[in-house]
Amino acid sequence: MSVLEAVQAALAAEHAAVYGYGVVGGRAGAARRTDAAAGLAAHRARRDALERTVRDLGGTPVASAPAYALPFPVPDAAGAVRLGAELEDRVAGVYADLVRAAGGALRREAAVALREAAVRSARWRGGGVAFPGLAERR
Amino acid sequence: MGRTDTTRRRALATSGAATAGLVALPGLSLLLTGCSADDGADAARDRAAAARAAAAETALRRRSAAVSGGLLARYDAVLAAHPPLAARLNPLRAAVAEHVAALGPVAAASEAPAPAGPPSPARATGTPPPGSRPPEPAPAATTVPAAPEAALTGLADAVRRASDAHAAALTDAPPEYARLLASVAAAGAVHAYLLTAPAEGNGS
Repeated sequence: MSVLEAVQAALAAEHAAVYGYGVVGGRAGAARRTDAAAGLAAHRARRDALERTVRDLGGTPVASAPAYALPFPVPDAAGAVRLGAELEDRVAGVYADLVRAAGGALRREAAVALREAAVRSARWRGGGVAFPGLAERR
Repeated sequence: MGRTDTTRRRALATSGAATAGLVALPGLSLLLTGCSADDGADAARDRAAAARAAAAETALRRRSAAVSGGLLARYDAVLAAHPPLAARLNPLRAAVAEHVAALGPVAAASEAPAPAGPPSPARATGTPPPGSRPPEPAPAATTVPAAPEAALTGLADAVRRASDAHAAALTDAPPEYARLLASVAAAGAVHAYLLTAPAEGNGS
């Protein structure tokens, strides 16, 4: 996977996360609304930064889809919490791949993004996994 | 994420490819003119470079496994001093043991591999077995605070230091190992959060 492909994959995941957090925020309930808002803001910022990075690499940023299929029904607050964790796990995976594909500052930034996604996932779930972002080891 | 330094990265990528003999544009004419004479020398250089890279990765694997190994010893010290914390700490300790195993030199390495499992009791007490290098951040004669909360705080600090060390090491690591280091560093950030969060989290 080239650096540009890995950045585009991360951008696509961030588009999906921004969409998904809209659902999370709508269903999360008062107790978790702050987490949902913080997550949404974080993913918007990452999305914008990745769009700049794609352009810096000479590419055209992938666009967001008008809508995304949710991985499972989210009828209530418990579903919203599960979705929040799922979104973060997916984002963690693409950033782990970006760490592998990139070097220098972009690699370090991808590692920071992976760390932040892993912590947000653990906040939603109340626990962590041994190898965040590594689907083959989880 | 800030705008990234693509120019520097491209330069790095190019020099890396050149080292690997893939795109040696500046040296192309030399290669063409001196082809037959330099073939053997080039091959030898490539082999030497590959051997250096392998040795560097093995050394990095040892250092990284030692970082997480020192942390594992710290968990054991806290668990020994505060058995009631076992329910909370055991899942995290198990993850760190997995990290040590994954980070260590691969079994096929030419040198004798370092034990990938939990550190031996000798190492846990700060006395490395003869012939082995001590872990980089010496697990400073681990004195565990008597108060459980202070013990957890101290452990969280050690977790953060280990996480930072892995994050720093990934910059110059080979791609796949960098990915692993980033994951282990992220797990450390999660553990630090879990160690300092209210015992039952904020529920769902």
